[in-house]
Amino acid sequence: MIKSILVDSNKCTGCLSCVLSCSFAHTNKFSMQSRINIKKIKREGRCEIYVCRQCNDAQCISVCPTGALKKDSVSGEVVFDSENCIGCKLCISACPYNAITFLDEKNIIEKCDLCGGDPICAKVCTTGALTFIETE
Amino acid sequence: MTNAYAGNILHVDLSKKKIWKERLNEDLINNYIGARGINARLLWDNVNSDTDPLGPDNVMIFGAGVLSGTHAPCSGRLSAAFKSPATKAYFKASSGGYFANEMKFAGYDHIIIYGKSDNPVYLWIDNHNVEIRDASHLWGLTVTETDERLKSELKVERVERVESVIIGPAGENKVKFASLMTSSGSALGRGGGGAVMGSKNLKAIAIYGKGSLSVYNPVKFNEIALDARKKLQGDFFAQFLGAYGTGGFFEGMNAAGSLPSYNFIKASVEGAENISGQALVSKGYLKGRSGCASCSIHCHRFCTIDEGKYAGTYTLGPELETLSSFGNGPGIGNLEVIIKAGQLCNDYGLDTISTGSAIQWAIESVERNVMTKEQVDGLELKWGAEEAVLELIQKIALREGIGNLLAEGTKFASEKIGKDSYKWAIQSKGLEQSRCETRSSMAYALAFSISSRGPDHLHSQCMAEFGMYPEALALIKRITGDEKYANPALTEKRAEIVRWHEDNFALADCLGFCAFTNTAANALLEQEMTDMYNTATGIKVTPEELLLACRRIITLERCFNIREGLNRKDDKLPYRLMNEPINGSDICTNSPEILNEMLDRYFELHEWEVTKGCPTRATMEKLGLNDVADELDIQ
Repeated sequence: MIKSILVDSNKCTGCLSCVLSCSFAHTNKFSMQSRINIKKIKREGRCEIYVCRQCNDAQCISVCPTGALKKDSVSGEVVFDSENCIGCKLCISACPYNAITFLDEKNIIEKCDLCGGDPICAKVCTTGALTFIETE
Repeated sequence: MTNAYAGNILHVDLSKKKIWKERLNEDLINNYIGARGINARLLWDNVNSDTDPLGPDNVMIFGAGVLSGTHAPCSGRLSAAFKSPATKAYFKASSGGYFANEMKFAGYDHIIIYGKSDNPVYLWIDNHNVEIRDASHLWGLTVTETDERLKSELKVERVERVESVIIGPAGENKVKFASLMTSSGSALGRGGGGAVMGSKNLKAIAIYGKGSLSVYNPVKFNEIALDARKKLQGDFFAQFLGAYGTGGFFEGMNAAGSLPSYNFIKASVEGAENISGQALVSKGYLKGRSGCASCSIHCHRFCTIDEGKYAGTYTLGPELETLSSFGNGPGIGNLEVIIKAGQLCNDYGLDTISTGSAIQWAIESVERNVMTKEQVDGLELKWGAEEAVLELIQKIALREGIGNLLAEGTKFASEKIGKDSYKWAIQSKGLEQSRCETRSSMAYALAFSISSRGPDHLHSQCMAEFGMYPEALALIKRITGDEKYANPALTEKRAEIVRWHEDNFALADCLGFCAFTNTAANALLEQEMTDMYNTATGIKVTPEELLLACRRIITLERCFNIREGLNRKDDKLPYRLMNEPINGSDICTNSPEILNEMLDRYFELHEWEVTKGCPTRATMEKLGLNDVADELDIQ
């Protein structure tokens, strides 16, 4: 069974609950440095959601020169191994969803790890913009 | 520093161009919790009865909620405090949006602005770097234009995240009810905070935070906050508000005969269903919903008009108050005109409630032949006059012609015009009453009359008195001992109901929660809030201790107004509401006799002296306000 985060940006209100919860779940602190990001397009009253889709044919994996990004065939997750990351940012450029962020202080990238199988962003989203569902 | 707090107060003196930071001391935290509470103490300490609200000695204080920045539901509210140019007394204004979160991430719980700049400036807070910058190129711009210009010139990684508090032309022109607007379209609307910023030549405060916040017990806090989100999500009101916004209440209020219409002459109108929150959805004006920081309700609206005369209009809103201020209030049934009016107010930086009220007063004055057509600049001012109302909004913001008189507020305007026009000036303490028919809801009547900021719903929102849902009935039973008191026509037990709600409203204000969590709806009460506070901060307090701190805050706010010369004589409602019945009924239910009965009990409950409503020495010592009692010379 493969589950992933289904994104429906049209339902997003920009409340940032997902962003704050994500930073908290991964660092025990609340901040805007998160593995999911929201861009508000104020004039159009809508938001864009940037989070990893765990693509089957993932561009980030193809361009990664060190094998730091790999597809887990069981869970379907695009798994990141920070030990192998050299901070080249090729994956950031390749990702069509702007879902990979760079951590200056550690000189590595970070991306969604599905919180180990129970992503908090989908849990706190009350609009239906983020849902964690079976996709295969 | 204590967890959950950022730990610092940012001081900015615009006269001396000095900026400094101070650690937030624990006495302030222990006695006044945060946000509104600490703001109130800072305001008491920094101004006095000689302070001119629009002079350089007034201060503008912002405070972020203690839990702002976390994922506790609806916890991102911002509080401001200042001496109001409208009421010349204590004022707290508050809003949603994201400014409070950015303050916390930049490292500040509070910001205090002193003095006055010689030339237009804005404050740029890029995390720890704080600069006073020239704003001559922004002066005269609308709120939306200012926000866009700031975002185009500020250099940070994610500029769309920069959140600002901005004044429009109305604030620059010191309109007495000019609002403070946030980038995200939320308003710290009431009391003329925009005029205070304008008097300081301060166009905006833009902020971008890069830091983080820790909590004392992450596992427990997460558990409690997620549980609170679940409770709120299951709440009927929360779901209803998400679907239709605050305007969703419009039709129900109309059906119940409690929708103030035609300047409070009537309490319902024909065709309310054409200008309600539901109509915004069914007629296709609603294009999106907006959530404030960590919101789980999403009541804020985004509306556009795509065709016709007002094509191209877009605005965050309109809220219930705006729908009523420019719809059934002045007798307008055209939803597009109301959306346009809301957009104009938001962009000029005007409080929609006071603006709509001042315009309704002017319309009634003309209808009664108390003012002539010449006195209103030749405008065809009458009930339902769509274009004249839109024109008046602009005239008020720019202080043109009749707008210059109305810009001083309904109280001043009625005193100037005379001829009994005070009888339809819907204000008390200098603040225009918000769109609530207090003649059919006694707890609201009491709450509005004793509110330190004037007759308005954000002091203690006593929604439970209507007993519309099981949680409300349970709460009324807990407060009064019997569900039968969930009846807005009763005067009995109103003081008890108001006191519970004012304490809990203050708690929500201090922690950064929206009123739709605990007083305007009742999904989260003091126990849940205390649990979140304790696990976030590591401070161990009981709900009773937190509510005692809220009593201290409310008493201090009362003392501020006593220092200004206000007392029980000022605890009243607008003349019309105290002397004229709602159309169709025989008696006026906000009569002085009825208010006095409730006020007596209210002051007794507070252990304040009853004839003047002044806190006694014993009560103040019990609350640890000895120094305040000394300053007021209370024996």
